[in-house]
Amino acid sequence: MDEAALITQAQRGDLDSFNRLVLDYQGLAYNVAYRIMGEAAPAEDATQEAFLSAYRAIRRFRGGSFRGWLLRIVTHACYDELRRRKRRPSISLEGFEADSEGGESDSNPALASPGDGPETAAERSALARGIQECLERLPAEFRAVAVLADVQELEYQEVAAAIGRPVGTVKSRLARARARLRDCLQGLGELLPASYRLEGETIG
Amino acid sequence: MSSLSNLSPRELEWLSAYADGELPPQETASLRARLERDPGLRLALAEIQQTAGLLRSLPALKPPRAFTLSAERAAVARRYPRLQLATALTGLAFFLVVGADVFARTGMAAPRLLAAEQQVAVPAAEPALDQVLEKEQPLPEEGLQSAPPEAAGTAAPAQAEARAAELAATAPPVGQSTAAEELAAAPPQTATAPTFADTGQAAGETQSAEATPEAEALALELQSQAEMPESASGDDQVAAQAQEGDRLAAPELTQVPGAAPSAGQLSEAAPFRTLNRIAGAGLAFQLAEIGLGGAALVLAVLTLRTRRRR
Repeated sequence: MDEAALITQAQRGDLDSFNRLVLDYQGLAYNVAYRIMGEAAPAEDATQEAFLSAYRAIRRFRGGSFRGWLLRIVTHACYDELRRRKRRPSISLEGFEADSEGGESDSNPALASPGDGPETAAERSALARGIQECLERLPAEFRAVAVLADVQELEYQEVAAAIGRPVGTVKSRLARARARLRDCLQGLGELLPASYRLEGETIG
Repeated sequence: MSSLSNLSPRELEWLSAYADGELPPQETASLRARLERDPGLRLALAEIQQTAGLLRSLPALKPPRAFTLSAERAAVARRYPRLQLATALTGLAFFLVVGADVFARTGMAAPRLLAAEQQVAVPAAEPALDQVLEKEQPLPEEGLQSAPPEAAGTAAPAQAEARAAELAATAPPVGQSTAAEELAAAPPQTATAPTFADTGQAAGETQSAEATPEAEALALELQSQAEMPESASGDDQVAAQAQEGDRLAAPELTQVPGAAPSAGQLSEAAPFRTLNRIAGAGLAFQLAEIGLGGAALVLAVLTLRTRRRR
């Protein structure tokens, strides 16, 4: 069954069809949530919350990019979760503990990419954590755009749909996010790939 | 520092969009021309591309579990917004009723104060009078509706006066009944007084035969009251008698709800309805507050539990 048919079925209240859409999109949703939240536990909460919201709202989906529509719900769920955690900061401790399970730890088999290059898995993991930390220093709305456009490589149009803003806003936010990220990433020093480091040094 | 900081926001935006191939053709052409001339700009473009490349290099994470919804969870998900709405509406209704209650209570305080001022102006015939007047104070609200504003404080006594007169008319003639007739004949204190008195008397004449025992007893009591304050004069006397009559009549009349309404009861109904309405409204408010408050509480607990189960 193709996506459009699944959506139609889900809109008629068919839970199985909706769950097939969940399975198709949960990887994307969880990754976006993780990159925005920075921790496994809150990312998991936000993802679950997003799919529940999507289930309740799917009748109101009126065509267009389902991915963009769903990602908008995911980003909203992330913002909500971030606000909630700001109000009750104690929760983030749990998040750190749980991080070793679903996050970028060395032992995570999800990280072992097939073509292992010269860098070791540990180095890659440290770089990934460094990049993630730089992402987290961005204001949430800039972070969301950087995650969607650069990490997930979405078209501007789809990013615009996902954040509910015009393409012009995506352009300016992404440009500013990249400039800030560049400054932060230079601080990672040795963790950066050689090419990036050299370039950074010549610029001073 | 990064060379990106040296760019204007517009240049930065152009380079960023250009790196993604999202710059409109015309701007792309002009930017390309500038890139050829300006090595600094080329460097900035390279930095943007590398930054984006680093972000792209982030590994995709495997979701820790499946996020599919169980049938139960889906049902809860559908139920939750409805519960939320019900809780919100019940809570709102609760606060509206509490607000209305508070408004009704404080709203009645205004005429009460007005009446209290007028009481001070009238020399008290005896200490008991003040107490009686105080007890009757909820009445002025009705008085305000039927009488000119300046007569608010005296409206109730005037109505009671009319009732006294007409009760006397329905009662068997006893020696002191003239006192009650005097009350009716006394200069009207409010615009509504004559109407009450007239209709009361007229009805009393035609329907005196139907007077209930209760009404008769009431009339007797009223007359005995009328005897008492001989030293008191004029308006004070009228007010005292009328108020006393009100106070005495109230329990007796409300005790016989099944009795055929005599003319006296009909014309008396207005002030008592007010009393009953105030008492009834207070009770209704309390019941509504308890009911709505309880319902809101139960719904809130249900909502929170549902929220946790989600």
